Amino acid sequence: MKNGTSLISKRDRKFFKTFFGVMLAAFLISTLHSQYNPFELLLKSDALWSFLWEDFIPPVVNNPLAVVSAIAVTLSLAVVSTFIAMTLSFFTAVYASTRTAPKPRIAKYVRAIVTVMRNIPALIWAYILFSALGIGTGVALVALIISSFAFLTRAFVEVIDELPESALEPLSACGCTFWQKVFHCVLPNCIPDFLEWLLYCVELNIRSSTIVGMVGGGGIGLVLFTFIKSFNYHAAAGIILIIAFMVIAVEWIMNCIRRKVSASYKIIFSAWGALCVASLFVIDADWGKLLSRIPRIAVSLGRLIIFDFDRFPATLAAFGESVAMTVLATIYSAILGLLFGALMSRLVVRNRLINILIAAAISFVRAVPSVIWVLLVLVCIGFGPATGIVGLGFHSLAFFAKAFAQSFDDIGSGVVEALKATGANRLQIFFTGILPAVLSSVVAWFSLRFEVNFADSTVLGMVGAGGIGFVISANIQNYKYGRAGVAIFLVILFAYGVEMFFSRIKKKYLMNE
Amino acid sequence: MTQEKYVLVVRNLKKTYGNGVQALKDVSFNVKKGEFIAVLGSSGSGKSTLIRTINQLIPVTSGQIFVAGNEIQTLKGRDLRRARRRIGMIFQHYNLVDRLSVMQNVLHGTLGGMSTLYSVLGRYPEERKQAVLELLDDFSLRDYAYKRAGELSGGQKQRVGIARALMQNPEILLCDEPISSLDPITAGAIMDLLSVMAYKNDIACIVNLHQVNFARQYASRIIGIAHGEVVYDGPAGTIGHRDLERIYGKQIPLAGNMLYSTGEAI
Repeated sequence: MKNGTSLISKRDRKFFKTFFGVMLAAFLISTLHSQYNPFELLLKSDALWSFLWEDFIPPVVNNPLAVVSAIAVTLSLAVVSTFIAMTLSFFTAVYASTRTAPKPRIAKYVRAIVTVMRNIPALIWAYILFSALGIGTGVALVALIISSFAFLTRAFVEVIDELPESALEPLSACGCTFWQKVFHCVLPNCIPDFLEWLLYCVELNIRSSTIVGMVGGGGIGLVLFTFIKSFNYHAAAGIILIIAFMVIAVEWIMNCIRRKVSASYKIIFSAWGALCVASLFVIDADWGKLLSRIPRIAVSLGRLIIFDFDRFPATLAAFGESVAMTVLATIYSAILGLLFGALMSRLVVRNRLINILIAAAISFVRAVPSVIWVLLVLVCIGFGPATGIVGLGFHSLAFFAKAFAQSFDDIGSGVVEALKATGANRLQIFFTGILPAVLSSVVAWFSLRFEVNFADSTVLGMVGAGGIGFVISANIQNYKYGRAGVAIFLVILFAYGVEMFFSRIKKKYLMNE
Repeated sequence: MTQEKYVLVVRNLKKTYGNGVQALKDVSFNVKKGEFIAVLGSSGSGKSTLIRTINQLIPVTSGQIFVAGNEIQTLKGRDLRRARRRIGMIFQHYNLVDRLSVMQNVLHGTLGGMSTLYSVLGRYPEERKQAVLELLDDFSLRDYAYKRAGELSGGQKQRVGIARALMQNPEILLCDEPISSLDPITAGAIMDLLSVMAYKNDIACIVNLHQVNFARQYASRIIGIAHGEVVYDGPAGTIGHRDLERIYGKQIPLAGNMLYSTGEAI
């Protein structure tokens, strides 16, 4: 592209320079910082395989009844937390969206608070809450409610923002009140999109509730963590398979609901509400005690805000470690994700058997939460940056493969047919036709997953894999709230910066397509 | 021997799809150098299948297709790709990569002759790029060279599609309903461009059309297809009421109108 006549516009050239320049710089700095060598893993692969074969296989399930009740707790946590968060989010979102907000000034502050909340991962919320509420399923529930509240509010605000002015105008014209407008225009118009996000949130919360369970929230996550900590890997492998099966089953149910969405929303939401009531009994927390301790959350948060910059350099180093892990895990997994996505896509590789085999493997990897993968890699290859990178990258790879395969399939056979007709070969068709056609969705998926990976990398420390998460959990456990507060602030700041960078890139270069 | 006179010879072509649908039942015809042929037929008659078997986007069940002497249905891999280079193709929905510039889309026409590595890196030879710019000049698209294909209008997109096909220096141009997504004025302009380019470069054109008036106006010869069989093959000028009824079925009361509205429609 350097020599002679240019192929693309200046705007596009600037995009490639900015985006790939930043990525390359981040990649090099992270590699230097973490001293990570991807080939190291290949050298160790013998040990890894023998470990897997000898210690994990065959998987066993010792106490089926206990496992079933643990799964019930995990599912109940996800179902109830999403339902409660949904209600809170809806009322917050109508106040926070510029489309509907009766007081735009307040809307701005609401959005800012939600952004801060959203950038704190569920597991960190759990740690903050443990100090206020103690340990147990009730706390896990509150942590999930808070993190999904932040997630759903942002999603709902975006949906409401896209509502055309013309939809609201007639109701304003006939003198409707704010709440009349909300219930007679906003809700009916947005409910299909809301439901889409809600189903996605349930899927996320199944994974999150497993993770939160691991550090003391109960449910299947706690069972797994106990087995891993007691070196009972055969039983751990059994639980992992069950978790994968559970997540795949839930995704399957969600897809059924999506397809039958034209059924009545009333039925869906009433059924969900009924399920919630039943779930409250399964969760079986001491509700009175929990509610009476809620005000203590404010005290805990207050203690975090009184920053304590003692040992700041160590915090900063741990933070750098988390960032480097995120960058490398995301970049490596995105590149491999392109390869596996291509193998999964019928449009790229016309071999049904390969498509299906890869897709099956990928959905298994995706179904097991990334923190569990990190734990597995941890017991296999021990501590070090490689553990975080490989563990995070594993789940992230499966995510990218599925997302990219979907994008490839979505472009349809037209472009492929046209390029085939010019006499281009398969590689040429892929690189000059298919890949450019999906570029903007690749960038969008990449930015989405980068944020997820950063959140995951910050929680790794809490299960013992280094990084900023260790600083946060250790300081909270030792009552050094001020130091934990500084670390959490760094996490929020970076997450916000990343979000700004990607949304600028998208707005500037990838819009109008 | 007879094959040398023709750029394309189709003999006893049959195509049965996996679901048992017989799209083509014994189709044969020859195409001379530079001939402009319109293929007429109602939806589902097998027009699209026919055009896609010629460059083997769809493999045939039986029969022979000779393109410039090569039996294309026997070719595989590199040889097939080399044969396809000589056959340009134009699509109803243009099939451009919307995200790429007009320049890049037109250069896709030269992929067949390029090394994989260089094309993946986007290192097209300078003279090819100049050739594209000249072609875009001819098509009054020069100002749009660096626009993204997705930003263009339908007529402009189809002109990019034609430019891409012409960059292959084809001997045959296959056009699958090139004007079905366009308004009548733009459609006329695209047909003008197609016929001028085909005439200038001595390219044989096979154009699937739904508009009888356009077929009569631009083509020198019409092939009519119904239920996978050739039911008319003759000069465009003398196609009559009866022939159209055979192509489109008896129940078409508009057959007469289709025939006589020639020209005035645009």
